[in-house]
Amino acid sequence: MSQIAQPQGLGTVVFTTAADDYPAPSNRAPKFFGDNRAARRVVDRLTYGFTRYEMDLLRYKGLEGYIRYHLNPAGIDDSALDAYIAANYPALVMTPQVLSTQQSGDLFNQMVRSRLMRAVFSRRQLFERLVECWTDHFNIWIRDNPPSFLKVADDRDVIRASALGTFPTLLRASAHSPAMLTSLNNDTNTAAAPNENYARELMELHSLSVTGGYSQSDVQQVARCFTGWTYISAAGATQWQFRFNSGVHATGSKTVLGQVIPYQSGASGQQEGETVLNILADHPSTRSFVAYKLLRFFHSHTPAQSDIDAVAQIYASTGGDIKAMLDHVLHKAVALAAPPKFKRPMHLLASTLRALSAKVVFPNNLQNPLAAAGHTPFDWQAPDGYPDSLQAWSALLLARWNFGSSLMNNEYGNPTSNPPTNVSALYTDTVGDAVTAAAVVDAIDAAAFQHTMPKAERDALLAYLTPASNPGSTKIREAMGMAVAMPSFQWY
Amino acid sequence: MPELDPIRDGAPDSNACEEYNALSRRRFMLWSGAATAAAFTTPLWFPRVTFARFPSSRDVIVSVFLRGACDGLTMCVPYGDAAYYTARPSANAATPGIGVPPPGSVNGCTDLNGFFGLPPGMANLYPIYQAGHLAIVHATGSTDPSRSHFDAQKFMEVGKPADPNIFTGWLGRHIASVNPADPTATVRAIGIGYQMPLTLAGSLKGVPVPDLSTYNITGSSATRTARLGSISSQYATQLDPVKTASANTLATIAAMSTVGAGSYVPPTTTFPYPPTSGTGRSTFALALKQTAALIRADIGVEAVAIDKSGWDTHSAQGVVAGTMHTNMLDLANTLRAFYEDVAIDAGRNVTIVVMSEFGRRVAQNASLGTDHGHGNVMLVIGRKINGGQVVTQWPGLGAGQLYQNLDLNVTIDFRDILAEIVNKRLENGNLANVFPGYTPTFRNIAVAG
Repeated sequence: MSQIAQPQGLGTVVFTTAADDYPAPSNRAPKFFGDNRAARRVVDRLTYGFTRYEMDLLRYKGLEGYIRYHLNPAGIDDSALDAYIAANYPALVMTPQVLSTQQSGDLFNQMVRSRLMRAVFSRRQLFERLVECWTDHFNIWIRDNPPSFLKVADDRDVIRASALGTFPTLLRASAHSPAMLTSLNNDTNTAAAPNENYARELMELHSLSVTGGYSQSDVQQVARCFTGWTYISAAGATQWQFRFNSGVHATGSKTVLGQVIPYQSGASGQQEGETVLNILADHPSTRSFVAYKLLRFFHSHTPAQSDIDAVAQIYASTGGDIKAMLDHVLHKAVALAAPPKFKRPMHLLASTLRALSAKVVFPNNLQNPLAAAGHTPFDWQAPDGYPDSLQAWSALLLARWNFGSSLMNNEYGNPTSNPPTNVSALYTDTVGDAVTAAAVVDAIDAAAFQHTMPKAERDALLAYLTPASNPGSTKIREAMGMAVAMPSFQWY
Repeated sequence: MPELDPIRDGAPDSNACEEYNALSRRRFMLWSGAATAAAFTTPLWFPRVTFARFPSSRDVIVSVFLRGACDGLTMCVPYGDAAYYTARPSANAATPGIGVPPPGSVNGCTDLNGFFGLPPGMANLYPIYQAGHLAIVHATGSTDPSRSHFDAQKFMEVGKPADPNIFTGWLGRHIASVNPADPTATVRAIGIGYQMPLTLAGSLKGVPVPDLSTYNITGSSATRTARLGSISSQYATQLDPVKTASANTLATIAAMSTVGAGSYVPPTTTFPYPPTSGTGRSTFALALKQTAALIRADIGVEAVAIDKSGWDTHSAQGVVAGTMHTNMLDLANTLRAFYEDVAIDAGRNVTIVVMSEFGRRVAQNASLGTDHGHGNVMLVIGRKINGGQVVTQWPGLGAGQLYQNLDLNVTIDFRDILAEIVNKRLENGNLANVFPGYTPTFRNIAVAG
């Protein structure tokens, strides 16, 4: 099967992450000599979970080559997925004006499903992980109104467009995003009675951090600087695009973090907000906070201060170059000695589908387990983004245990258009013609875990698969579901 | 409800002693196979016992957190303070503001005591106030100066302002510092949601449950027990918090299958819950309705924490119609239904406390909303609450009376209220553990015993 195939009678694109469906690495001489565990750690830290293909890439590119490969996503051919996304999620390329005419539930579904498909099937895996990191950092609740449609543009024009540039560029792009401005009420921030919502979260969540050294007065002054930052409300092709409305801009000079920002009249008034963004982007607290966020996402739930300082130093010396900071973080994160991180539910779902080389026929119902675990993309209401801590995600284990169970019970398959179902192909690809319990567990360990499953978990599956001589397909399916519910698969 | 023989299905004999009933029900739960019991047996919420198995005057506490900083000056309107309408012109004014009109006006508030009133969205709480079971605390909150939602929520939930090194919640520490009200309880604290609310962090036998009626492992019921056993055995060697979470998960699956929250029918229709299914359903109402089933099932759960969000009203606040009005209606109607359902039921006393991280700016902004403020309201509901009063040391809303010249001052620390509840209604004398470094002043909000 090629990487995209038309299954019988469905006309639906099937995607798989199976290694033999991907182009072979150009240079076949191995350059990475770590064992399976070491290789899995490297791949797990750069992607949404190891696949046979990514493991091969690492072996033939070597550690440095593999990191460089993923740090330059523009050089990775992702045209197959791009075509699928374009064909199935047309809203993603619409202008804000056209988006405003669309049904919000449909936009929500297109955003969530495309996010999930990209996480599972994009070959620009590190880029997609980074997108998730910044999506949380600049969180916008998609079900807010109007961000339901503006978030589609924000995701494309802010987060994805600037994810791998510099942090100051990303910060500025977000500040000019109508989705951000409306969700934090800056569209109604006017001289008469400034609205502090955006000003506060800009400093607390996007740049300085809550301990970054600003006062209530700074919040009020920043709010005054941003009076008039809104969107075009007049009907037409440019409706819902950024606009500075000088008519409601606060007069008088402002003092932000001890720095006087002189009043500028007319259209130049926008420069006051731009100055604030420059001050924040260059602030030591911002450097540390961004360093902390990157380390927390890619390296450890609880980054060490010395690591934060090192990454902040790279921010200072490179003007906030995300690629440079990430390069440093990844080199720390891929070490076997780095502390493991607990997968968030979407990560668990994506990594399961990747490990099992799932052929996704019908992604729509894959939203269900994300909702059941409380981790639907773009659906965190508060502006701080989904939490990324062990404490937050380790209490609701049941959703994790159920995911594999429901997947292998075909609860996420296409309810109307079988065959082929997700599960039968997934089952066949993983287990092949294994019959005995021992052969089945070997097959699951090999195909889905790249021979990294802990012995205790193998033994637990063996004990479940009775009679050992021929446990039968129902129990084998259940064991596959159990395998991804086991503790070792919750960490990366 | 299928026709069932309550005796055969394990219901206690109402003539037997309490100890026997407790024992027989435990035994029944064991041999029925907890994970599959619900499908074949009467749910435990079903009315059949007239006394609690372990009679304790300790209340079940339901802690509701309004995320996003609710506007206390709308939820309990100080219409008698002239400065209120200066800062917030009436919604009936020629240029409408976001002041809730005084009693007797169009969309006016319901008078409480000649000075404060309930806005239309909260009016359905008035009968509880009249019955003496609702106390409203005003100009209360945390003295921490933060206007960050996330810091302020954290400090309030851990029960100690400005301490970044405390990671357990006030209610979690309460649970951990008292013997269980029911020695056989397998679940003592539930946070309704996907994550454990910080309020309950540190509790023993505490677990987050998004939906009490569906908390079970999917797939074949015939292999559930074996699959759960196999998976959970591997978690037994994990480190905490994962290891304990696994044990709690198993216990909760078994417990929830006996509660039968999905089939719960309140015994009274005096004031129905807002719709809990279909379009426009209320997740808050569903959470409280399931909590009622949980309390009636009497399985020893002592604390439930529930979040309700959507209070960050920086613009188009909508005090008598619109966003906040709708949210208040959902809050008040649900609380009223829950009150009529279980809070006045003599079988088990319940105390409900409602709080939020801080209040909102006294003056409205140009977006007809309000920015982050300071002092706020708390609501306390229960049969043993000294209700029918607004408990306050009103600092005033005029010039020179505001916190940082902007916000309502905090004149009653929120811990005074919580500590009195913990002490009198939850019967925990170890307040130094629940609220470290703080000596509370009781405000006569509750009666003991």
